[in-house]
Amino acid sequence: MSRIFSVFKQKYNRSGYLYFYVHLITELICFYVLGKVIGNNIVLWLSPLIYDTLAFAPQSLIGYVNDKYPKLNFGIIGVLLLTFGLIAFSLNLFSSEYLEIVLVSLGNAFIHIAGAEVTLKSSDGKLSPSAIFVGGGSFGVVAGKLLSSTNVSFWFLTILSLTMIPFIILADMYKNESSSSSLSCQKFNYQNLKLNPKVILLLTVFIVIVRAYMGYGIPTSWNKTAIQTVALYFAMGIGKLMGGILSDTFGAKKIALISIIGALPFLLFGDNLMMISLIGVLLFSLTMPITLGILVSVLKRTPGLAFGLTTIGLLLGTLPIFFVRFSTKINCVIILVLTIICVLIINKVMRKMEVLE
Amino acid sequence: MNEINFVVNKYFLQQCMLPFILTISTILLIIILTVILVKKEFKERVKK
Repeated sequence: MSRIFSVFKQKYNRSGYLYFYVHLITELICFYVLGKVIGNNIVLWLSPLIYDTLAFAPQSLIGYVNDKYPKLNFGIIGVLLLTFGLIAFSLNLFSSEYLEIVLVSLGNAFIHIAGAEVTLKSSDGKLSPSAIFVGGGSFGVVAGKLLSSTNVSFWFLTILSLTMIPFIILADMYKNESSSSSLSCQKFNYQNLKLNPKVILLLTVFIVIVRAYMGYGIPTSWNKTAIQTVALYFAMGIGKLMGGILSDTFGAKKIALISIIGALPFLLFGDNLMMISLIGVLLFSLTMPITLGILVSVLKRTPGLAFGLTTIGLLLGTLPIFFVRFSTKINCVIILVLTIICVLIINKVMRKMEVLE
Repeated sequence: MNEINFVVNKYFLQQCMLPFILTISTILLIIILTVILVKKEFKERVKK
């Protein structure tokens, strides 16, 4: 236990904590706007698909540009886009609500890339900073969803959005201070060196796609009230965050295999049992920072592009929910088969390693 | 977005065909560009 707490206290996690807040507020604003837009107009069925596409897909391209021009502050650009989107929505500046979705989605994408670049480059090869950053998003998603059903003042949200700026600036300062910043991500070595890097890349993106699909496919009939939804997203957030912390404490491959295999029975049999299901969701979310770590290990010089590959995987994994719907039984079979495939892939693409010192 | 369930149906296609096609095209275009960038990155890595 003391080993876990000592990882929390490490200096390299400072940027992660700052971006935890930034990520939380970003998702809060995005899901507030998305919730309001959907609530306003039933024809805007497409809004979540447009949001997912513009928030997730361009991150690879934005990440690549940031890798090549690291002095550009994409975090600030993202906050400005996001805040403008929020103001435009609240004051009805555009005739089409799609435009507001476009603005907040792109703002979201820029902020994600800034967070990924900062936390990965100041991580000293560890997974916890980026995991802490990523974990904040789940809390923001549920907060934004809940707020969208209230009449909270948009000025309050605008100020909340602008409070991200000092956090971004401070995190940038920590990144520049960090000794590993100049080495970029050279210390990331989670991949199996005997395997072709292109194969590792493809297989790891496949795991991300599967995880994203399972995130939506997990049977959660118990989830009926607002408090239960909060519990679900808290489990996801804590899981992602702990994935990095536990990997840095006990070793990434061990945690990846334990979490994928361990989550299976909880996910399959937790359809009507909230606590069982939440343990499954938490365990299942642990793999999130590990797959990012593998991709960065392959694309050490372009961590932004590597992060973008995970978000493309997330998008591809969520696409099926827009087109097909399976019964719970079929979903369980799919989850079982995909889990076995993921275990085999993780075993193949990750190198056996102890904790990085 | 677990509770937001939007499944394509006739009504959806009638109302949202253009933005839907644009969205799917954007996804495909970005995936193609990303593959090109990753390939470029691998080539540069081999050179160095």
